Formats: sequence, C-alpha cells, structure tokens
Amino acid sequence: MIRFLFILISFVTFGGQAQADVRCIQAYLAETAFDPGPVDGLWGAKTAAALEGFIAQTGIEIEGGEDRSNSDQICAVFSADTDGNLQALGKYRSYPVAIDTDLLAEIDPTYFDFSGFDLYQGPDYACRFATYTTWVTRSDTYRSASGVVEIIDGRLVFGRHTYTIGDNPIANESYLQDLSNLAILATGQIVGRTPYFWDYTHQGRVARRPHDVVLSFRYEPGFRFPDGRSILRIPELSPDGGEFHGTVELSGCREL
Amino acid sequence: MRHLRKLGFGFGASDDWSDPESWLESQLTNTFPQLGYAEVSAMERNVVAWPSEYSPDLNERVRRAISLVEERQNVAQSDASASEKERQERALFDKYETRWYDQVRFLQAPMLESNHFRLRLSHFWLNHFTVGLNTIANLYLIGSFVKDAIYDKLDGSFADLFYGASSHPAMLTYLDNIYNVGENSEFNRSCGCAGLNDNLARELMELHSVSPSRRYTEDDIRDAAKILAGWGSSYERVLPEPISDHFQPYYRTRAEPGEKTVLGRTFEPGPGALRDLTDHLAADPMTADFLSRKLALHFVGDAATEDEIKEIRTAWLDSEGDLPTVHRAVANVSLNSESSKFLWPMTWLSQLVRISDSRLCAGFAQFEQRFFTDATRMPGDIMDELGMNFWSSRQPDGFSDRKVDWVSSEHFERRVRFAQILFRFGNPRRSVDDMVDILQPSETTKATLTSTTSREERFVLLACSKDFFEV
Amino acid sequence: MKRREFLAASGATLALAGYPVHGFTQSSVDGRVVVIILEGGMDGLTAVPPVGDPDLFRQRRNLTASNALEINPFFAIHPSLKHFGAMLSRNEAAIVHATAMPYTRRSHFEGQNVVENGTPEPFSQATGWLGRAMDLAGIAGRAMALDTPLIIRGATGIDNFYPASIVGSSTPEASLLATLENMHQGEDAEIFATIRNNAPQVAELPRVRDPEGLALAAGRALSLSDGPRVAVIRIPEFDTHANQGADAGPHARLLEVVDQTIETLRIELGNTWQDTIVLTATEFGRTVRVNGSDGTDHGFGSVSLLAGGLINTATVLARWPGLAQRDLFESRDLMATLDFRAVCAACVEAAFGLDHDEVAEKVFFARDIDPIRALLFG
Repeated sequence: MIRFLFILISFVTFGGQAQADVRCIQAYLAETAFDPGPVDGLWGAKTAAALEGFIAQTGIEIEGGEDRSNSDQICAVFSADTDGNLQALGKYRSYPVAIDTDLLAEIDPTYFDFSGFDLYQGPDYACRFATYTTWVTRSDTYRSASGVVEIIDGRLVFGRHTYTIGDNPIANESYLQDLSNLAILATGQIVGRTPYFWDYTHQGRVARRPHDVVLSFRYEPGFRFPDGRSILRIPELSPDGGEFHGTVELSGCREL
Repeated sequence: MRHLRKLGFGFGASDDWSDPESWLESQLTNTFPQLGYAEVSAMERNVVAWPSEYSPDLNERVRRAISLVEERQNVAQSDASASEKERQERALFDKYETRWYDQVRFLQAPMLESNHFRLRLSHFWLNHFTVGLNTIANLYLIGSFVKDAIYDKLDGSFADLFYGASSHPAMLTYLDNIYNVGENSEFNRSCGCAGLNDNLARELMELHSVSPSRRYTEDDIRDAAKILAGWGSSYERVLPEPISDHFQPYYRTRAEPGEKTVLGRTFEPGPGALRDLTDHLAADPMTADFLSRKLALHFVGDAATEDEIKEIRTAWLDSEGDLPTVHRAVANVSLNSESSKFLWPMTWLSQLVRISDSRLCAGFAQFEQRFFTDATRMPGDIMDELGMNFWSSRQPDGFSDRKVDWVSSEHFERRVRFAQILFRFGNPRRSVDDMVDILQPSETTKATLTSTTSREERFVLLACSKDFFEV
Repeated sequence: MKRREFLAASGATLALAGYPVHGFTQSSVDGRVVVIILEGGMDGLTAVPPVGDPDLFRQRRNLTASNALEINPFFAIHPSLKHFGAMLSRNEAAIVHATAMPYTRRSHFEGQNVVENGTPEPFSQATGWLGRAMDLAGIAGRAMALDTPLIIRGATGIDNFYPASIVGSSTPEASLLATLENMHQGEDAEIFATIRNNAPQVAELPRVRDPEGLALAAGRALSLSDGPRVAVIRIPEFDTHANQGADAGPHARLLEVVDQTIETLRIELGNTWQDTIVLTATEFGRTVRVNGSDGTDHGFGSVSLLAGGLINTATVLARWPGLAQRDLFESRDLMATLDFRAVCAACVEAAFGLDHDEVAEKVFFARDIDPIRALLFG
C-alpha cells in the first residue's frame, strides 16, 4: 500500500494527470491476478483487458464507465480501497470455462451399436427380475437388484428397480437403466454394454466399466420364456473357478 | 527363547533354542546351506539344496533382460493380430522368467533355513535400499539384487554394501539412473538429446545415507547426479552405443567430465568417483545416526530408547561401519530390551509357518502350474496380500517399520485368513498344545485357548494372539 | 492402463471414514468429500496446459499434447481427461492452477506428508487436515481404528478398504472376532471390533484393487445414507522422471486413470453426487523444462482437479505466474501462487458447512489462508 501511494505522489509531480491516473490503475491491478503489463502510464490493450476482467470478476460498478476517458474516476475508486478488501477479491482470477460440447458427444457410456446383430424376434414381454449373487467361500446368497424389465424388439429395458448393498438401497434410482444397454440375440445370448465387467487376471479381479459383453448364458432349457419362473445362471467368467456366481431370475412374464 | 523370534523366524522343527549366546555366535560367523522344496503338498516334506539353475548370475540375467526387450520389439513390429501378439508376448515372458524362482526362493528361505538372523538382516537392508518394479527389466534384476547386493554383502563394511547397492543395475534402473547422462559428455555433445536425471542422486543422500538432517543443497544433489552420470545401461531405450555381452555398469561416453563438489568434498572425474562419493557419505556421522535409529526401530521396536540407539551408533562409529560389529550390537540391544516389537506381516507369517511346521508357497518345480486355483500358493500373491511385495512398483522409502502403519482392519483380517488357510491346507505338524509349550504365551491367551474346542479356531486364535503378533 | 506393464498390484488404496453413529451424530452432514492423492508429483502443465501463455511451447515443446481440448482462451485440458471435460461442460467441475502446499524441498517422502498433514512442516503432526476437519464438523464414527492414510487420522470411525483375496479363506466369524477383541488391548482390540461391525456392509462391495474399482466401491459406500462421508483414494506412479510422453505415454495413461476414477465416482454416487466434492492432491508439480530422459523432475506448482455437484460454475482459478524463465521458481518450476490449503479449506467449508476462520485456525493452524469458497462453490 505504501509503495502504491509513493508512486502516485511521485508521478503527479512529474507527468500529466491522465498519465498519472493510468499508472495508478496499472499499479493497483499489478497487485491482483489481472496483469496490466508494464506500469508505464500508457493505456494499451493489456491494461484494458486487465481492468475489464477485474471489474467483471469483482462486480464493482464505476460511475462513468471503464474506459480510458474515465481513468480519473477509476483511479479514485481504487485509491479509496485503503484496506485492500476490493483488491483482495481480484487476488485470484477466475477463467470461466466454455467448451465446445460437440467434442464430448461420443462419450455416452450407454451407447452400443446393435446393428449387425441377429436379435431375438419373438414376442415382447414384461417380467419381474431379481439378481442374486452367491459367494462360494461363504455359503450365503444375497439379492442385489430387483424390479421390472421389458423385452422389446429384443432389447432389455429395465424399468423401476432397486439395487441394494446388504440391506441398504443405493441412491441411484435409475442405475441399471442408465448403464445397461443390453439385448437378447436369436441364440439366446445376451449382448451389449453392462455397468461393469469383471476382468480376471491372475493378479486378481478387476472391475472395468462400462464394458461390451457377449454373455454366454442362455435360458435353460432351449430358448423360451416359460410362463412360470425362468432362471439364468451366469457362468464363471474366470478361468480358474472364481469366488462367486450370479443368477438372474425372471418371473411372472406376460406378453405385451 | 525370545531370541529366535526377535532376531530370526522362530521355532522350526530343526531349531535349537537352548543356548542363545552360541546361537547368536553361529549366526554371525557360520554359513548355512540354501534350501528349498520342489513342490508344495500336504504330504511332501522333502527339503533339498536350492538348485543352482534357478539362481542365474547377473550376467545371465542381464542377457535375458536384453533378449526380452529385443524379442518384444520384434513381436510389436510384426504383422500378427493383436490377440496373437498378446499370446506371443506372454510366451516370451515365460521363456525368460526368473522372477518366479526369485520370489519362491525369497519366501521359502525364512521358512526353511537356519540362518535366521542373516535373513532378517537381509530383509532390513533390502528394505532400506529399496528397489522396485518400475520397468520390466527389474523383473529379472531384483532377484540378483537380493542375493548379490544385499545378502552376500553383510560380512564387510557398510561402505561396501552401500557402493554395491548403489551401482547394481536393479538400483540404477529403479531410480532412473540409466537415463542419467552428462550434459557435457561425449555422447551428448554429438546428439544434444540427453541430460541429467537426479532421481538416484537425491535418494542416495536422502534415503540411503545421511538423510535430510544433513542439510545438503540442490547443488550437492546436482553434482552427485553428475558423478552418477554414465552409470547403468538402458534396456528400454536403444542408445547408439552397443550394449556389450557382459553387463558393464559404467559408460565413459555418457559420463560428465570435470570435477564435482558434494558436501564440501571435491571428486575427480572417472568411474572411481562413485566409490569415493559413497565412501564419503558412509563415513559421515549423520549416516551412523540415521541408520542406527532405523536398525533400532526395526529390531527393537517403536519404543527403542535413546540409549539403545546410542549403543548401536557407538558400535558403528567405533568400528567405522563394520557390519558384523553393528549387527552384533543390534542383537545385544534387542535381546536386552524391554520393548516389544510388532512384527512385519511377512515376518509374522514366516514365524507362523515355522512354529506350526506347515507349508505355504509353491515349490520351485511348480512354475507350469502357476495359474492354478490355489492362488495363495503363488509367492507374488502371498506378498501382495501381506502388503509387502518386494517386486512391486513401490516408493523408494520402503515398507514402514512402525506398528501404526500395519494396524488396520484390512491387515488384521488378512492375518486371520492366512491362519485359516494354513490350518486348512498347510498341514501343520505341530499341535496347538505343543506350540503353546514352546511359545509360552500370556495367561489370558492360554485361558482362551483352553476354553475353545474347535481345532481350527484354536490355531487361528494362537496365530492372531498379541503374543504372536509381537515379540 | 495396460496392466501388462505394471505387473504387480497397482498399489492403489482406498480408505473410508466418517460413518455416522446413530444417536451420537449431532447434525446430519450431507456433504461428501473424496480426496484423490496422486503420488509421485502430477505434472499440472501436462494435465492443464496454459495454451494462451506464449512461453508454453518455448519451454516444453515435446511434453504438450497436440490435441489438448481448449476450455477457454487461456487453458486447455489433456485429451485423456474427456469425462472431466464433460463435467466441466455441465458446470460440475473446476480447476485450480499454480497451486501447491507451501513446501519446496521436493522430497516425495516429505511432500506427501505435508499434503496430508496440512501444514508446511513435514512430520510435524500426528493427524491429517481432513481428519481434523471431520472432527470440527462433528462427524463421529464407530470404533476407532488407526490407519495408514495420515490425511484422515484424527477423525474417529475410519475404515480401510482393500479387500482380501485369499482363496480358501472365509469371512471370519463374528464370535471369533469377539474372542480376538478380548485377547487384545487398546487399538488392536478395536480393530477386531471394527472388522466385526463392518463385515456386513463391506462384504457386499466388489472386491477389487485398481483405482477405478476402488472408486466404484467408494461411490457406492458414500451413496448410502448411513455410509461414510469421506473417502481417500491413493493413485501411485506419477513420478515420471523418464519418458513422460505427451499425447501418449505414462503420464497420459495416468491422467486417463484419474479421469476414469472421477467418472466412476460420479456414476456410482448417483443422487449423492449433488452433495459431493472430489479433489485431487499431489505433493508437488514437475519441472517446466524436460530433463535428460524426456521426463521431468520434482517441481513446485501443480494443478488440482475438482469435481462434484457442489460446484456452481466451471472455471479455472489461478493467479497465473507466467512461464518465462524469470517467472519460474528457482528458474526451473512453475511457481505456486495459490496456497493449496485454501483449496482444501474451501472444500471442507462447502461440504461440511464450516466457517472459514474456524477452519483456518483449527484445521490448518494458520491465519493467512485465503477464503476462496465463493470463487469455487458460488
């Protein structure tokens, strides 16, 4: 602050008033994150840009506007900031982000191209589903998700469902919908993109998401929708046996 | 009784714990055979001498590492499909594999051999001079480091050990010194493409010898880097100079000419400067300070007293860093100390295997089966689960010696699980009652064991008792 | 990340803290904080190159990605950070640049301690800033457990999550754990109690060890109403002293891991994303110029990536020091002009509803921490 006043006084005695005002503005801004360039009393593009940015970020209003013709008023406002509180608001600069969103369009995690796959052509169904996981090393099974699923033109469309961990429902209500993009092939296999996929390496199991899968489970026996329950067993995806297996149970299927 | 656990791996079937003094003497002066077993199986207890073909020398290892790089490049540049390339790469790793044998050896030794204290010391020094797996080449070199740079160097001075560890290719690779080239070197004057890399120079002082208390400056580090420039050959990046048939750690054309100054001492150019530098650092009293403290922490425990540290430091300074003298002081201090030491997971597990006379870890003849279901038989997985894999890409400051860093639900749960599988699949030949007789745990522990009927539970409870976690 | 090249376990870890205790937690704190510690020194100039600075290409020709994504006239982000870019476009992310803890000795060992203990002096504290912030916020927990991450020591109710993979073993029975608890004392006993208490919840989470898998587990755990409030994920291997790469190469792959980790968190948090702040922390940045091995050495200023629903407007916050030789710290590093403690403070203030002066005093033991909450969280 002292240095600032010294500069102000010394240039009032030497140069013209306008130049002194510009110096005053530049010296003030030089202490902020809005760099005005050299403190030389000459109003250039850098000074203008710095001032504009400072005013935009701090939101102050200066009577008479923010261009060079008003430099005496601007200088007065800055000089009045004796405790530096206004200046502190410009200590860091916020550079707002503006991204061309077209560039990001390809990142949709649910997208999967089903063209070229021979999809199931049979009737459309609405079923209830539940998924279960059984741990080999413990002898218990727990239910992880349940809800409704529709099979429409071979595509699996998950509707209302809950996904739990233990007894606790997780907060993402549209979890399976958002992340699953699955369909049934004419052969009964399931193909598409899943929320995550267990990749088995001999170092251990790794979750990768989202992942394109062709799961080799089928409805047993043959491929049909029974009017009772139908159980699909997801086989071990690990070459060595693995620790768990999953089951998807469809029940109460009715034709749409 | 405690001496076998404090300084070694406890009470195996062939261990004699009757006379601590003569035991310690034999540990410090005798040599013991290197042992191993070919296959792990519940019935087999056939322990043999470790076959030399599974301990290739450094030249052979370097040859393999270089061949692997070349053949991998050929595969990468070939026209084969991606999956075929992957298959070929896997086959190449198998062809040149030494890591498996190195790891099996590393884990079998504490469970079988009689040279307890030396093994414990080698673990300490291996952790002090940490090397890790930051590039593929070290898959082959760490095994050599363990034996050639550490285990075989415990009979001389710290200065010898320090120089050998710093100039070993595993260290030069791990801390990127293979890329450290003098800016004014012959090599760089013609290509202008290389420069100094100060990673090893910094850790040499910060972690391996004098420690930051010595208040060395960035200039010291920079000049140390200049001394180190030219040491190490590159496996991943092909440099114009040919790599000779035998491992040649020093490349004159990549060295920085001129004098260097580190911590007030001037060093002449040439390969001898590294030895001079490590000697200079080894002789610095800060090194003795730093290392006596570390040794005390490792063997005596978190509550090591200043007097105990001083005894080790005095032995160090008086003998000018003679390792047998220092190690003897460490042994005396830890045997006489009241402190209890919370054991490293690996030490705890080795002691458990030994005292129960059971088997864990695959045998050296089981390389082909190494993807089998019994994943815990794989030494790499065992070390991962213990949280102490010496073949991982880890930080240069090594595994912690403080109890607080090993106390967590994940660590403790694993200890319970390891005890379980040892009981279920490791065929322990000592009963829990016999183990109790040897171990002499507290009354609380004994009472708890008496009131438990399940054999597996008794085993797990003893293994996870406070008496066994600590010594 | 090609797993073949890092053959051993990746070394990533997760710690969860701040489980509410029914009946004891005074006010329910809805905010969640996830700190991603990037070990080894993340190169801020690679992650967020200041493309508007004329000295950038002069100083690091070969280290700047050619297809960096411009986010405003002055800054761009590395192409590996595409999900992060999507979050920026939705005003769910922000960047702080030229920031570091006030520590300049460039040692990993000391630097990581400083990032976690929250003061400029390495090894001066037995607790971490996040733990102290949780205490200030009254986020009580279950059994106390000592744990490796210093950053959350000081808080009660800490749980480490690194699931065991020991085939042939089984989840320890509650009765066995109770017996073990009785056989031990103090913290050791409490560990066994913690294992017993957390078994049902932890057992349901996927048993993985890579950063994305840990983020999956963390996101799920944090999304539960009686789950933890804080997660700390540690990603190693940023110490690219050699062959750092620009578009591709180790640093680019690591940025991809960071990007994927943050995205996985976002997905798994579900609705809880709105109450979450994720921030990256690293012990220092890297040198501006490349070294002799096409890499960079330890530096000073770096970048912190922030993401989460608590953020109001996407922005880059910096007091840009410049990249001309005279602007560099000790003529080699990006100068840090924003104390990283201010970023940490702003995050806990926003997530836990804490007052700035109290945070400065009780969490960071300092008076001179700038209040920047309004600039990041609106």
